[in-house]
Amino acid sequence: MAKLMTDSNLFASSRAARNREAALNEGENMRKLSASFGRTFGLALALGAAAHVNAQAPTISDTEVIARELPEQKAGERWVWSGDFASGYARSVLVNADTGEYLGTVDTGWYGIKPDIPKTGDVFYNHGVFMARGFRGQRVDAVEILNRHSLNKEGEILVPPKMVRGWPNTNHSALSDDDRFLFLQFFTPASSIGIVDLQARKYVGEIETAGCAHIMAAGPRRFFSLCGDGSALAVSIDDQGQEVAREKLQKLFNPDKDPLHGTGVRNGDDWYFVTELGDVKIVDVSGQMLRQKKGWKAGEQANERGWVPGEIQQNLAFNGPTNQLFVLMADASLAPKGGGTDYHRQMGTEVWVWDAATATRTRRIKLKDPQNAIAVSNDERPNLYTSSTWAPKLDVIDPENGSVLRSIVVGSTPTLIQPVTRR
Amino acid sequence: MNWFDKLFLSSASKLAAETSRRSFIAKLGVVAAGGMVLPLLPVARFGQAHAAIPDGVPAGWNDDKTCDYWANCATDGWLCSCCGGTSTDCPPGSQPSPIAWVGTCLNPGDGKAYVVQYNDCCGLSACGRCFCNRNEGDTQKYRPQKSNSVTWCYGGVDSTYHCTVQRVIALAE
Repeated sequence: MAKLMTDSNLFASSRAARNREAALNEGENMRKLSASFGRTFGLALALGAAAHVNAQAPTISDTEVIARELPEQKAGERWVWSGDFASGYARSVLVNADTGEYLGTVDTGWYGIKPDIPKTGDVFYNHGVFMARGFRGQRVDAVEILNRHSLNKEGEILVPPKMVRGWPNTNHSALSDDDRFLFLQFFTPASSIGIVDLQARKYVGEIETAGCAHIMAAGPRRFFSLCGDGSALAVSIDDQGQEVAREKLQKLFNPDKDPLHGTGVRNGDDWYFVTELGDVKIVDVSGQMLRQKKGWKAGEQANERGWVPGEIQQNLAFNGPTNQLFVLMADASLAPKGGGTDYHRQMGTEVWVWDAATATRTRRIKLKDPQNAIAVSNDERPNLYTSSTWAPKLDVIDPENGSVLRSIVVGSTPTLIQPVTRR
Repeated sequence: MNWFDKLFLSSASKLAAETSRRSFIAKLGVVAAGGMVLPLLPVARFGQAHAAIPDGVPAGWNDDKTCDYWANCATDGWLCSCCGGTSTDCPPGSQPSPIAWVGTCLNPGDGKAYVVQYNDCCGLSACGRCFCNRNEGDTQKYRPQKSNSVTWCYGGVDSTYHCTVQRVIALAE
């Protein structure tokens, strides 16, 4: 309305001007009258155009541009972090799996792994590699402290430049059960575990884990790792993050005949793993010593061909409320090729769902495309998430019938999938 | 698993389990560096006249610019031969990592297996050409000497990965 008033005033002013011009001499009057008519006609046209535009007028902004904060995650909403390897300088993107909405991004540095998200508090963490001159220059490794509402960096804890690089795995970093310490996989290529005190916001030191890799939390002051001799190495630390004890669970798997994949998923005190041929191995971390529970055979093979777990990044998922283990499976040749076997690196074409209480398979979900990462939301009617490094999308699947509910664009080279636990 | 692999794996695992990390790195570096200065064995190219090529061997088994080249059997990455380098030398501007992983590949030309050393070329962006993902004999990271899923840019070079070269370093059997 204010705009219309202004235009009317302008029109009135032009009429007054025209009247003044009529009093001038005839020659001059004709020239000026013509000019005045042109102005008036132009103004009339402009007024008409303005009236048309005003029907769709945008809001006139008088505020500064800001960066939004994340909305609150509503009850029932399932959010997911999806890693994007990109060109090597990686990131993680956060999406609402139920709507497909893209919520935000954090850059995770060279060969970034995943956000490490504590159960409480307003921050989360990223263990990243950064180079001073793009692809070159001084390397700095840091645990970044990120605000969970704004996704802004609040600080960082410098750590030695030893982060494992390459294809990421879910067990390349882990929070202690009380979220006080962050455990980091170092690989130089000798293996060790870096310890970060998140409460004091300082790097404590590293613990030798030669011959072992991957990190799984096993209590507030303990983690364990998988070893090349087929054992699991458990290391306990004190409140200062210093090693106080170590023990080995021997003969967890046969590293020569059927190695264990590095992906482990947890349900309470039980960690689930799967061998390259598909044997489920369960490590119970409830006691003072690690204990192996009876697993089951999830693979099927005959005549050097069969169903085995796919790929190495994230081939397992566990849904606690329904007590179900999800295994990404591939139909592969088991015959050694010129350089040995390679069936442990095949992309998965099905997800097999197992009732962990009875060790029975309840479903086989055929995937639309070959995938190399899976995860499930942690609710009673879960979403199954799958992604492939070679397709820029995250598929949200109903595990009851295998239908793809939606595909969400999450970056160029998807890696790890991490469902968000709502607070 | 052949005798050389067993020997290498056994000694490396023993070394890893029983010695300090620094010592392990030093000795692994010596092994890798020693491998790099070995002359290329005269086995890289065999014509079909030397042996009958078994059925199922891909056409590019003797073309070192292709992923099907027999000595690429444990590769997971971009082939440097497509990136301005060769199958054995890094492209201009990149930095050869002195630390390597190994594989054992069967040469269809003579029917023999050879130990192949793989070095990453570093310090540049990912080449992005001729991706080769064969993974034969690849191991999990707790047996790193044959694991190709990590970025092998170590030993004083920049940490960014560009492409991979291979060199045949020994007859395996």
